[in-house]
Amino acid sequence: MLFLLLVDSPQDADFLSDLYQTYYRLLYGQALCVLRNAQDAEDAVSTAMIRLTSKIDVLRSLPCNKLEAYLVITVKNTAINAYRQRKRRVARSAGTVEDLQVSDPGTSPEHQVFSSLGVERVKNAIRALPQREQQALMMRYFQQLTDDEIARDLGLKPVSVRALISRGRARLAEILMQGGDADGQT
Amino acid sequence: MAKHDDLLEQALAEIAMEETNRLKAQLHDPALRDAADSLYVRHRSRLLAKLQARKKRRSYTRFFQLAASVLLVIGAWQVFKQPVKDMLNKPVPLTSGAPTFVPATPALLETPTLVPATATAAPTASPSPEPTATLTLAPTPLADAWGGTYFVTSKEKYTLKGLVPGTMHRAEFTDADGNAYTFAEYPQPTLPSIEKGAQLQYVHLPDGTVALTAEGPQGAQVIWDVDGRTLSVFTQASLNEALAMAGDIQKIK
Repeated sequence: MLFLLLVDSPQDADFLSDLYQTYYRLLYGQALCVLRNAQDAEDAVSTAMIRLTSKIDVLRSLPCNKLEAYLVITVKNTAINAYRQRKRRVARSAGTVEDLQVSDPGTSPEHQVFSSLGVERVKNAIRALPQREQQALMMRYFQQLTDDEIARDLGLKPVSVRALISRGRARLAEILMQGGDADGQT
Repeated sequence: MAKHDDLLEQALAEIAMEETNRLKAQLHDPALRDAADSLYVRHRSRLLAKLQARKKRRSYTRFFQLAASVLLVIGAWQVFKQPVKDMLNKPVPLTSGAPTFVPATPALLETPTLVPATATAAPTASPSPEPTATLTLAPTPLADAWGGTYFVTSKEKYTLKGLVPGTMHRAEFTDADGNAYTFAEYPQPTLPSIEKGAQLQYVHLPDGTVALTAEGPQGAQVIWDVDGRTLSVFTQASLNEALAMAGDIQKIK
């Protein structure tokens, strides 16, 4: 146990600095694509990099192509959250805040659907999901974030995150069962 | 579950990589590339400084984590190093003054002198005797101190608080919930005083012995005869608790 504490060395920061300097163009490019604002993009990249300090082990384990995708998706999600927060602030000041409606996800149908499918169909079905659910699934299954981390990033309670993910999976199963895909043929 | 999770993970990873490739293609646009470069140049030093500052902070917290871990290990070692406690002979400091137990028996209303278990029972690292049909109190000091023939056998459930000498033998216990109990053994058949107005009934103890129970506002009492002796259990808790202790009492000598 003590050894593990020591192994997690201060070189983590150097590793992150290297990542930042290697992939800065992708990171800022992604943030700019989402936010269309230099200041917000800078904040999003900064926030994403700081948050990545808790995911060093995951980052170290990824192959190069997945690593850059992980960084891009992390920045994208951070940027989307920043955009949403900004929008929410504006909406709140205008008195039109929308509460997240949490419903019973009902996960059973998906169990029967996934196993017989190809990746392409699943990808298309994911693209057909609402953005919030796509984002939550991406955070859970690609970025390997915990409920608490997703909750913090999305500004939700962990229980709402679990509901969101379950709902996303159920909807995914529903889309797949109906034979729908990203082109909106659901 | 795991299988379709794998499929989902793979699909999401591919989507992420496709998005990254799309982004790379977009970065061929000089405007976007220049904007990204410009942001990097402007904010590089600040972000790198933040990451390095985190490194320092992490090294401080790591030091404290390490120190806390060492202390935890030492503490755990100290706990495990201690000998197993003998619950029956556990030296329990007695409270000063008269004991709170006041059953409705004249003998018990004499101002009793508590004989602390510590006075005679030295703490020992030897394992406690296992409760058997006839309990043998291996550490002899307490067995000597207890002049009676019957005693409570469930050491895990009841903690001996002290012994009270007198015309009968009396021991006081508490249980894990803090309920106080008094067990008394009279050397000859006796009818101990019973609380006035108490509700009386006869019950069978687990060994088939018929016992008299008395339940009143002051507490519950179980009285029964065995081997020409009268035994009595009193508690301010419920009658069930009194009966549970009565069922736990066995011959030890």
